[in-house]
Amino acid sequence: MNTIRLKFRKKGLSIYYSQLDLQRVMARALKKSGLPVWYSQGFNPHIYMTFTLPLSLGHESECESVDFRLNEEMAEADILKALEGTLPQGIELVSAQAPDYDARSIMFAKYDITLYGESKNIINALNSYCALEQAVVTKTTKKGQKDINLKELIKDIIVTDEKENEVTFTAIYPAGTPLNINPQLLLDFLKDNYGIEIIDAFIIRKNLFDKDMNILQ
Amino acid sequence: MIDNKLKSALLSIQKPARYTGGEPGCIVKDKKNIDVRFAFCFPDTYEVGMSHLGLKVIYDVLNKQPNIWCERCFAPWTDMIEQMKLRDIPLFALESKDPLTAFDIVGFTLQYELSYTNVLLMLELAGIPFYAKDRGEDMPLICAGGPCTCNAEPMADFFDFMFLGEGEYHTVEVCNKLNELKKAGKSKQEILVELSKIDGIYVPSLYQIEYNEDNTIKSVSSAVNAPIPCSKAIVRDFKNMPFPTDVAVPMIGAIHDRAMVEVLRGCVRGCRFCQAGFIYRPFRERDAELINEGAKELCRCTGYEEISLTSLSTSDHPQLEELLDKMMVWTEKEKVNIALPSLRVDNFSESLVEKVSKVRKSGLTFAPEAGTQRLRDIINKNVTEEEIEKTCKLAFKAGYSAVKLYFMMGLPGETMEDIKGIADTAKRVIEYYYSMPDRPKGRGAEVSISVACFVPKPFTPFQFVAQNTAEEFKAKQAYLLECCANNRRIKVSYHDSDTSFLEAVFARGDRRLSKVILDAYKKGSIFDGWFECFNYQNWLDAFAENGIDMAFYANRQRPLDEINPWDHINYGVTKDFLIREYQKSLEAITSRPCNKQCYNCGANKLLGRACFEYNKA
Repeated sequence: MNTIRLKFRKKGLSIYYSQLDLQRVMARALKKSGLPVWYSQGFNPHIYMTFTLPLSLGHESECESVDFRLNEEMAEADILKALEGTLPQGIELVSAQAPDYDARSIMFAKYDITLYGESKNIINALNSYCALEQAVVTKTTKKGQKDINLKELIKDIIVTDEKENEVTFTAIYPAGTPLNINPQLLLDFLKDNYGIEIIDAFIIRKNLFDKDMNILQ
Repeated sequence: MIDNKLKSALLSIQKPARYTGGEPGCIVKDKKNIDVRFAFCFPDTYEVGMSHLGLKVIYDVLNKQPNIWCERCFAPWTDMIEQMKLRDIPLFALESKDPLTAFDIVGFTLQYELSYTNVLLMLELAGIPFYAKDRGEDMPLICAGGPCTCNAEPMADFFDFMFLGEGEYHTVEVCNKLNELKKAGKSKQEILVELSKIDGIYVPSLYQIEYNEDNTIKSVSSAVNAPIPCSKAIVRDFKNMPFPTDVAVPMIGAIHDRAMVEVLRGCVRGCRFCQAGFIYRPFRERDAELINEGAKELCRCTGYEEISLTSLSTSDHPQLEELLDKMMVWTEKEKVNIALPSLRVDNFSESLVEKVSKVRKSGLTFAPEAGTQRLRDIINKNVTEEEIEKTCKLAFKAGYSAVKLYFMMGLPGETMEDIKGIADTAKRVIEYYYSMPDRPKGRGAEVSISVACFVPKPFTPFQFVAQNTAEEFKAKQAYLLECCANNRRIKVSYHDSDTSFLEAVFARGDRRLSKVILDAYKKGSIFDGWFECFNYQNWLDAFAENGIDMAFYANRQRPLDEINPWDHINYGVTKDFLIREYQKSLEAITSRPCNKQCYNCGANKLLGRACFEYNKA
C-alpha cells in the first residue's frame, strides 16, 4: 500500500467549494479515475483521504494537497493521467508523489491579499496596524471564543502592489493544528478599527512553512 | 467567465457554488458553432434542480446536437437575489455566465404549482417582461415543459409556447425549426404558428377562451386553426431509448445526490388520485440490458456510489429481478449501492427484499394511501391488508425495524372511520412486528405515518371532485392525532393544508389566474414551496384584489359535462375514460392493473398499437 500526496492548486471556479464539498469532489474524482485506491475496511467502506490543511471557502491556493492510498505501485505520470478530466474546473493538479513532510509539521502559511477600495486609506490602515503594540481580536473556535493578540502572530506586512483602488500585501500567519489564523481575522480588525471600506478582498494562500520557516512543497 | 462583479457577489453569499457551474460533466461549447442557444431553467434552487432527472435528459439530448447548446439556470436563493439586484447582475446561465436574454429559447420546467412565482422571479432578474404579449422580437422565446403543462393555463399569459409530454424528440425538433425560421427572417408570430404544428407544442396565445356568466368556460377556439385538442408527444420506442450516462455532478451535493436511471415510464396501476399515473401513460419499459450497460457507464462517468432505479412503480418492470442480478455483478465490486424507490406492497417478493437488503439497509417506505379497504377500493389503490401484513413481515424478517407509511386525507368518499383506519393500520404494523419470534433483536419497531392533503388534479378520475376545505382538513388531522395518542412507536406528520389548497387552485385553474400569480409575486411571494418563504396572506390578498374566489377552483364539485380549462389538451387518456373510472369509484369498484386488462383509456392511440400483448399474459 502506497500513500500518495496529490498536490494541486485551487483556483477559478473551484474556490467556491467548501472543504466538505472538496472531500466529496476528491472522492468522486478518485472513484472515476479507476485508480486502485484503498478503501477503509469498515462496515461502510469509503476512500481514505487526508487533506493537509483545510482552506476557507472563497480563498485561492497555490499549495493544497490531499493524501490517499493506492493498492499498487504506480508511476506519477500514470496517476495524473488517470485523474485527468475527473475534477471540476479550477482544480489544477501539480504532482502525485510520496508525502514529503508530515502534515503536523505545518506551522505557518503565507497569504497574498488584494483589497479593493481607496488605496490611500488601506495603506494608512496597514501602516497603523504595523505601528500598534497590540491588536486584540476575538477568535471563535469549536471550544468557544477567545481573545488573541494578532500583533504577536502576524508580524510583518509587506505591500507588494499598489494601484489606484487596489492594494496587494503579503503576510505570514500561524497555520496548522496548534493554532490556525484565518487572514479574514486581520481584515475584520482593519475594518473595525480603521473604518476603511473594503469593497472586495481576494485571498490567495501561497506557501506553507514548518517551524523553522522552511517552505513545505 | 466570472468577472469581478460576480466574484464579489459570490463571496458575499452562502453556497456560492450554486451559481458557478464548472462541475465535471457540464458542457461548454464554442459559441461560434452554435445556431440555437437553449437555457433550461429550473424554478427552484440548484440543489433541488440538480436532483431532477428530466433536466439531465433534456440537457443530454440537446447538447448531443452539434449546433445546439443547452445551459442550466436555477432560481437564485434570497441572498443571491439581493446581491444580483445590488450589483446589477442579470440572471445568467451557469455554463457561459451569459444573461438569459442572450438565448434563443428560455425553457422553464414546471414541476409543481408552487414554483410558479419563481418563474416570474427569474424572468424579472433576467430583465425579461412577464407577459408574452409585452415581449418584442428581440426577446428569447419563453416556454415551459414538465408535468404541470398538462394544465398550465394559470401561467398561459407568460409563455410563448409549452411542451406537452415527453421532450426527448420535440425539444430538438423545436430548436431546429426555430433556427430554420429565424434564418428565413420570420416574425415571432409566424414562428409560433409554425411551432404549433409540431407534435406536442401548445401555443396558448393561439387559443381564445370564452367564459360563461358563472365563470365556467363556455368555449375554446383557435382563429388560426391551431390543433384542438393539442396532443402531448411521447417516445414510442422507449424500450431502446438511450439515456444520459455522463451528467453534470453537483459538487455541493443535491437533494437526491445519486445516479438515476428511469427504468420505465407510465404506470399500469390506475390509482384514481394519481396524476402521474395517467399523464405518463402509456406504460413502456426500458430494456434490462440497456439499463444495465448504461447504469454501469453512468457510475463510471460520475463516480456516484449509489444508483437509483427510478420510475412510478419500479417493481412493475417485467425484468426487474433479472436486471438486479445483472447489475449486482458489478455494483458489489465497484462499491455501488442500488436504491429502489417506488416499490409496490403487492409484489414485493422475498427474493427482491433479499436483493435490496444486500446492497442497502435503511428504512422501508410503503404507500397504502388510505386507512381502510373501502377507501382504498374507491381510490383504486389495490393493496389489501393481507399484503401489507405479508410485506411488513418480510421486511422485518430481513432485518428492518422502521417502516414509513404514506397516506392521504381528504379523499373522495372519506369519513372519520377512514381516518381512524390510518392509525389502526399503523398499530397493526407494530403488532405484526411483535408477533414475530424472529424479529430483529434489541430494537423496537417504529412506524412513521406521513399524511398528505389530497389535491384533485387534472387528467385523473378525481378531476371532478371538490377538495376538502381547510376546516375539514384540520378536523381530520386533529382526529388522527387523537387516534395515535399514547403510542410512542407511531410518529405522525402531515402537510400544511394552506399550500395544498393553493396547489388545488392552480392545478385546476384557468388563464384568469395569471394576473393573480403576478400580483402575489409583486407582493413578494417567491419560493412558495419553501416553508420559510411561504406567505399565505399574500395569496389571499392577491385573490381578493382580483375578485377571484379560490373555492371556485378548489372546493367545487365540477359537473361531468363542464368544459375544464384543460379539456382542449390531450394527454392520451380520454375524458370518457376518466368519467367511467370516476363513476366506478362512487361504487367502490376497482379496476385491475392495465397490463392485465385494458380499460380503453385511450393512451394506446399515442403508441399506435396495443400497449400489451394481453393474450400472452
